[in-house]
Amino acid sequence: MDRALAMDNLHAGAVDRMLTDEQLAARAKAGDASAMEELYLRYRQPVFRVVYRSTRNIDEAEDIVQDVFLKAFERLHTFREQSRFSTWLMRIALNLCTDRARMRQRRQELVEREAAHRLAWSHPDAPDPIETTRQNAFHEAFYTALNQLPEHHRQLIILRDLEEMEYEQIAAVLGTSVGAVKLRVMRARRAFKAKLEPLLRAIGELE
Amino acid sequence: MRRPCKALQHCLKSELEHLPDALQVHLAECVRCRRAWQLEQAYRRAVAAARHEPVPICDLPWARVQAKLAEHAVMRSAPRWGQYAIAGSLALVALAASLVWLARGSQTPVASHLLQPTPRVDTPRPTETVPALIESSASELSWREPRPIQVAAARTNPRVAPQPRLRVPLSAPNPIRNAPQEPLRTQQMAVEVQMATPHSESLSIKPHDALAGQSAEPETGFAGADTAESFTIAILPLSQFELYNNIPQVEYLPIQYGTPTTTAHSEGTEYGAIICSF
Repeated sequence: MDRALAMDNLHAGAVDRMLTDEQLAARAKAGDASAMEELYLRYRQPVFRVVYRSTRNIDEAEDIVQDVFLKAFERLHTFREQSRFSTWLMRIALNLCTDRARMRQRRQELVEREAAHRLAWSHPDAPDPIETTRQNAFHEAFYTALNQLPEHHRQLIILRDLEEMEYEQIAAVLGTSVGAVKLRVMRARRAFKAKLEPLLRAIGELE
Repeated sequence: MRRPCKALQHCLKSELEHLPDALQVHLAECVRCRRAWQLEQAYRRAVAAARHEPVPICDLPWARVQAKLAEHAVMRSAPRWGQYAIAGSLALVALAASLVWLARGSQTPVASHLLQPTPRVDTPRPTETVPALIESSASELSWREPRPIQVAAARTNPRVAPQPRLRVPLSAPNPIRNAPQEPLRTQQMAVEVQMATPHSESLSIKPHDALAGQSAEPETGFAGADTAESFTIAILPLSQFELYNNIPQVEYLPIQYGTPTTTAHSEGTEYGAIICSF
């Protein structure tokens, strides 16, 4: 009996894996838990990659991933299939990343304000290159500059340069045109380079 | 900006990995373009390093997400007692308001019926009730300083002759004559009350005249039964009263009865007593 049930589940899982995202979304909208699970297993890691690049913290990234799928499955009735499910899901992820970044920034400001009364801080933007290895300093400079960017610029750098998404895909996620995305990416890169240049000079990566 | 500089900017926008030889020569000459190209190269190295940085595997199990989903579903389906309480309270208030409104609506015809002017009955009121009331009041109250009060009343209707002065003796034996006299707080008080009498009569009561023993003259300027006329109640001297428990601080305005006793005023007119306390 158990074996038969397990075979049924296996067969159902195999069927689910053959379905497209939109078919799975339609079944999940009807309350099919296996379709939800299949969608979750498909997009857990891609969503996590984007979120992790934004947060650089595994626990926080997992929390955001959970919130992304909760929000997606609870508001699945609002998914009109005008875009791909992955695009819709990525848009939810970026929005939640933006919200979380705002909260983090507020918290960071409070912490720094409190610490400013007790400690004489060195400049937080320039990590000490002597105390870290060269590679670590390079990564640190990169993410320090990335975290100094506004959220909309940071998302574009992550989507285009780190995740290597196509302009069309980014335009679908952000709900805008390809030309606008190209322009925004160019501006984001310019701002990012402006933040990155002094850090790279500080660690000797630039003359 | 020179042409090679523009060409370099174009190459940077196009994300070219290698520059043409002409631009390589230009980089050796132009410091600005050389710095821009070096920055671009460093940026690309940083991006490549970050891109190839291993991203941890997400270990978040589906069961955890599923449990959260079920928890949220339970929270959404659970009755929200606070909202129910607020809605119930609002419904009760609305019900009470509607009941009050319905009750007032049912009373409105009765009230309007009651507000209809009743035909005047010209039955003369027996005047014997006024002295009886005076006697009963006097028996209950004791004067500290009895004063005879003269009330002069006159009918302003020119068709009727002026009424003789009404003298109402309110002198009752004071059993506490030796008690210390309290000063009068108010010696005189003038009160004018404009009233529309049911039969549009005018009665002028002049306590000055009443106290002086003069008869009141009919007021002029009142045309008679068709116009609203006024009573003038003036200078009602306060007198001190004591109740049976001999508390001297109580002051009462003496009760004035302005009902004429003659037949000329006995048209159903009723002048009530004026009772004040200060």
